[in-house]
Amino acid sequence: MQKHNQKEHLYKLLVIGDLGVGKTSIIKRYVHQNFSPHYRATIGVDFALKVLNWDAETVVRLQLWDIAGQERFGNMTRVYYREAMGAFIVFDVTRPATFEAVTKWKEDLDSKLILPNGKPVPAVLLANKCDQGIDVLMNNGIKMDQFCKENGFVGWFETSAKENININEASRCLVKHIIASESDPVQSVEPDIIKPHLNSSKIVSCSACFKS
Amino acid sequence: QDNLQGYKTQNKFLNKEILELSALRRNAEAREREWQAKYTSLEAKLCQIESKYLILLQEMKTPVCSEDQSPAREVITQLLEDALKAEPSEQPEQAFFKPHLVSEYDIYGFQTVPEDDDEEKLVAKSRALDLRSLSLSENREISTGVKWENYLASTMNREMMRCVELKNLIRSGIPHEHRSKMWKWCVSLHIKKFKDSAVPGYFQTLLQKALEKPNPASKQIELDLLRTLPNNKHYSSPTSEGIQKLRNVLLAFSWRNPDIGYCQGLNRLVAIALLYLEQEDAFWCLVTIVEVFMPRDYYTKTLLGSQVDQRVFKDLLSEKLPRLHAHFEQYKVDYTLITFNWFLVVFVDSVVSDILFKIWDSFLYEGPKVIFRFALALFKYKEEEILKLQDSMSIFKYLRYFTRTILDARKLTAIAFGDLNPFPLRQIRNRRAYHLEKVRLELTELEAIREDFLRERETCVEKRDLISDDEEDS
Repeated sequence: MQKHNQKEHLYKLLVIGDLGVGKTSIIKRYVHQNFSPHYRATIGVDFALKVLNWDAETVVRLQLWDIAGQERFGNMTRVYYREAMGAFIVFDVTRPATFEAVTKWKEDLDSKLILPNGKPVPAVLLANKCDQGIDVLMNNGIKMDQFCKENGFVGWFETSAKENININEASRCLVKHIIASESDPVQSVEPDIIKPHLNSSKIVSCSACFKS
Repeated sequence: QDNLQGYKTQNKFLNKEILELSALRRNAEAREREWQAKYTSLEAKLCQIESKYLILLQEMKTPVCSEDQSPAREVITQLLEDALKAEPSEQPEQAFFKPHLVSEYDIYGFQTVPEDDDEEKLVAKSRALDLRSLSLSENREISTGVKWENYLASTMNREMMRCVELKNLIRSGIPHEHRSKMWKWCVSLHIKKFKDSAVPGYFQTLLQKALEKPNPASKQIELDLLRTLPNNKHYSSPTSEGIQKLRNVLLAFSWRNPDIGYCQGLNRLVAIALLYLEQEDAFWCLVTIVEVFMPRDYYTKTLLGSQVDQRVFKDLLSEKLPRLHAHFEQYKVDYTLITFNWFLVVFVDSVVSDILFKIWDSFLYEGPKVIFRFALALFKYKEEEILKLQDSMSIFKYLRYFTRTILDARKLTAIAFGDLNPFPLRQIRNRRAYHLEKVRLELTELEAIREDFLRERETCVEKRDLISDDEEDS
């Protein structure tokens, strides 16, 4: 009511990754603050909404798109990806094959979706189920940093939907990069490629720059 | 003579007595029926009030403006907790015969109030109460039961045949106690050709093969078993009876149809079938749905058939519900993101179980046109509500759950099989053929774009490798 000068952003975020890595669990934890070991397998796509009070004058609304993990649903992903502003790519630290699929998901994303400034959408890598004991992949962070750099991830987090580890942090990281990429002045030459949809496009143009 | 006279009067007296007593009994019976009716309608009313009360509480729980901790809020929180705790005590034996929906599970084994979602809980409970009130206040169900008894009695000594009478009977819903028999009959009706050509022990052979050596599908099947119908008691834990059967049927099918192997969604189809069918019959039921009913490539790697059907559905919606179509266009809502699931798993998890099984009754008898009918009927049922929503977010939010708020199966069925007519199968076939070509082309284009992208990226990486040192220097 009294916060009439608040800025509002609406971002569509994708949550993708192989079957059973915990995409739905992460979203349920993030949005509803609860966890169950047996959410039903997502087919097609599902949605959830999360409102973040980003700072004193900014409210961020996140529309999370929970996309089915089985490869064949990938043929539908072009429709799902439309107008997304960021993505989480999730794998399961206890199943190395799901990590190997990460590059495939990233490629799929980048081949189907480009921001208006011509850059790929910001993506954060989530190493989920980190509560489940030792994991082979994560033992050294430097390697992961390297992997992220090579594959164009803006960051990575060890997460656990079960124990509520790092999910908020990962989301803040992604949103931060989205806000930064929005204020990126480089514009695409072709204006008619997939355009991210913004609720309040008039005011968002340089939010990150001015903040400093 | 005296004796005779004596007996006569005695007899007269006794007869009168009997007449009087039966009159009294009739009276009492009538009164009891009256009481029962009154009681039922009161109970129905109570359910309605309780349901409204829950909704009201829910509304008050998240007030629009107040952030302060007023005492009223505490009271509401307390009331809410009480409301969720107090389960009307039901006799469990009775629950088996009559869907007493406020007991923990319904007759199909589904939880009436899901555990995982707090917010959902209230809504679900209020829905359960509404359903109960609905089933209490309408006794017409009984007449359907009688019709079924009559029909089945008349076919006792001859083979059941497809006919209009049976079709209409099935459209009104198969009673729980006859569903196993009727589903089995429907499946055998469609699958006869396939089954006759199969060698004896075909299913067992497939299953044996599947259990001996894993294929790519088996791992995915395993990952999905407990994620199939976690809210149904037959599938809720690794030791549940349903899980093993579900695994067997899916594994056997993955060997029968390697083109599909396993597609997410098949698990739900099988799980529903297994609630009424034996393992092997459930297998043939899956074969019926995938290989007889649905167009080619519905569940294969491209999901081509599924994608095509969504476009066909869009055409039909624009024809049958033009206002709604325009509304969706205006707010750029791609509702096929939601309806895709309805088609793929024939409404499992999208509608309340009473309606789900009624849809499946007709679906198994009549085939996939029934899916189009009900998908349109669901939209038509809530058309006005959807038209009220004025932005894409709230429309999406509503579309995500509105199907579960529809409880009146009779009304929905009347729309699906009445209001939506005419509904020629030929039209669907034509639209399918038309869209199939288009989607095929698009898929090819998409593949080309992908390859281009990968090639480009390859060269980019090479270039980057060459100049990376310079970049770091600058």
